[in-house]
Amino acid sequence: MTEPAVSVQGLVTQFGDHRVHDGLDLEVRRGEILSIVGGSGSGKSVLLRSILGLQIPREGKIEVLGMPIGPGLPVPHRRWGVLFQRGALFSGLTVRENVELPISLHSTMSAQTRAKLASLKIQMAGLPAEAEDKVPSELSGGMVKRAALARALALDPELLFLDEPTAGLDPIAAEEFEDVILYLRESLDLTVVIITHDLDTLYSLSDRVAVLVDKRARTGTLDEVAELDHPWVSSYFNGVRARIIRTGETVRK
Amino acid sequence: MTAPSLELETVVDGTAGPVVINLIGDWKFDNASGMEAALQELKPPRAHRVEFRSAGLDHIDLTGAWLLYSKSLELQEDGYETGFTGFRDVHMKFLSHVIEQPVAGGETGGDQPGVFTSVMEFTGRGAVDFVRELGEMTMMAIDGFRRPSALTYRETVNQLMDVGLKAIPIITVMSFLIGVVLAYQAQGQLARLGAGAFTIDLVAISILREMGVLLTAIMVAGRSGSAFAAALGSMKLNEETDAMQVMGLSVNGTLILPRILGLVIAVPILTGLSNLSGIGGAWAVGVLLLDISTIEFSTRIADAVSFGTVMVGISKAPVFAMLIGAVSCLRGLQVTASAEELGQLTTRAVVESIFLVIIADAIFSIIYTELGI
Repeated sequence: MTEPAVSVQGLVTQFGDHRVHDGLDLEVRRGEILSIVGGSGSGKSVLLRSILGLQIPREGKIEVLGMPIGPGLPVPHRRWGVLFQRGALFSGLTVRENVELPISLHSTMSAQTRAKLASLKIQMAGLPAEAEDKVPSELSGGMVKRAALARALALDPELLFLDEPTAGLDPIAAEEFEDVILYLRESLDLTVVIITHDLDTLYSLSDRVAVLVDKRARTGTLDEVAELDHPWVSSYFNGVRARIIRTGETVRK
Repeated sequence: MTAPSLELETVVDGTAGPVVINLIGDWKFDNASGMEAALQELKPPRAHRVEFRSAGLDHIDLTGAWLLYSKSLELQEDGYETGFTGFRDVHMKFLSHVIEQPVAGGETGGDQPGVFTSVMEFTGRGAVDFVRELGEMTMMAIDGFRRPSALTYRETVNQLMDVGLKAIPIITVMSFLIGVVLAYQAQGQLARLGAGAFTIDLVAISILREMGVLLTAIMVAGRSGSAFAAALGSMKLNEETDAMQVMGLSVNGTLILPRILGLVIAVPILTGLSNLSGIGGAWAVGVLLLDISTIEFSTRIADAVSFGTVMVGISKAPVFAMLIGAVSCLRGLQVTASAEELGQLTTRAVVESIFLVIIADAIFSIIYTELGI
């Protein structure tokens, strides 16, 4: 159990002539919350898709939970959970059915237990019980994210990927969402990989940060990364907003 | 991984000692049905207190802890006192937190679905792609067949309702009207040659061999082809197909195969109905306007039409269905970036379906003529 949760080595991704990643290395340790940041178009989502096996890289080696990822290889469906950027809830199913679906795919438990387990996960994600029977189109943006989180947690994953979990949420909803994630992580030993733009999220959740600049990832603690000598990094971490969040951290907590 | 079980430890110690239950094995999600069974069988003897112990436990995860916790709540309702010894505090604490404090109905608003940055990467695929796409379609179908699941069947039934049952009214009405038009026009022309009596032959044969199946296929391409492409395309935009892949649900088996199967089953049946109502249209013109008796009409039909004539039409239906299904699903899955692209590919799905159906019909026509059918 000592291998890293995710290890990416020498990843090269290219679309036509446009090279997105060029020899990118990334390691996510067990039990940590790692945030991936980077400017628009720096390939954050592509990196996530590559790790999930949805995008086949041109070169490089990716391992998730000790399993190599590649076309035709077995995938750790059971052991990871993914919260997609727009939630990706199945639009024809109710919230509970959405959460039950992965359970029914990977377990033979009775329908009754399955429904109850789904309800538990929905509660864990912080959704009120009356939301269970709604379809995704009846939910607000924040509720969609919570429902998607419940589905990502359905199989008791060891590894949780969150793609822009707080994007499009108002600050209060975002903070609530962060609390849920922190709480889950503390109680369940999750390893969490977060892709984010949101400085608040970055400062309140991450153990370590990976910055995507110059087609590679540079990883370290927040302070280490903030000191990197790179124009994008300095403008991101030393901008006014970042300074306020950093110095005002005691106010937030 | 060891199977989960429970061991009842009898403490013969006078009267009020607790009943101790040892957990054995792996109490993890993968063993859910085993854990359920073990807990179901558990009938502790009448006692004041039941205690779960983790002595023989290898691993426990949240699902295991939750099942145990639910059982203990059940036991509490039956008047037992329950306790846990040796478990990781965090699971039980977490569960009691979640279960005993139902979420206050806090509506968290803030609704801003991201505007898709429209990157048009996949426009103008050349004809070179055609072969590859043909391969993709075949792979999709084969993969779907290899791993059918309960979901595949359920979805196929849904699709049958959508593409078949709901299309019946429009297709029968349309075919009836075409039958009327054909009969009326043919009668006008043939009468001038003194061959008015052959009107019925002409209409029956053209409907059964060509018109019925072609009209059905075109209507289905318009109705279902666009629906397939749009549905799959928006699922792709919404990342639903990604979510399916990530959780190990086959896109081909749950989305593609049911749609193609639905069409392959529905289109021949729809074609049969279309044939019948087309002939019905011809009958209406003959009997109501041209003073041909029903008896006369039926005898002519029986003379002109053989089993082969009917089969020529029907035999094309599954092929057309497959073409429509494959093209529409493929175009839908090619949506990657924007809502605009979704519209374009939906249009292409319909146009190409109809085009391919007509090409296939031409090929059938040649083959059947060569074979003398």
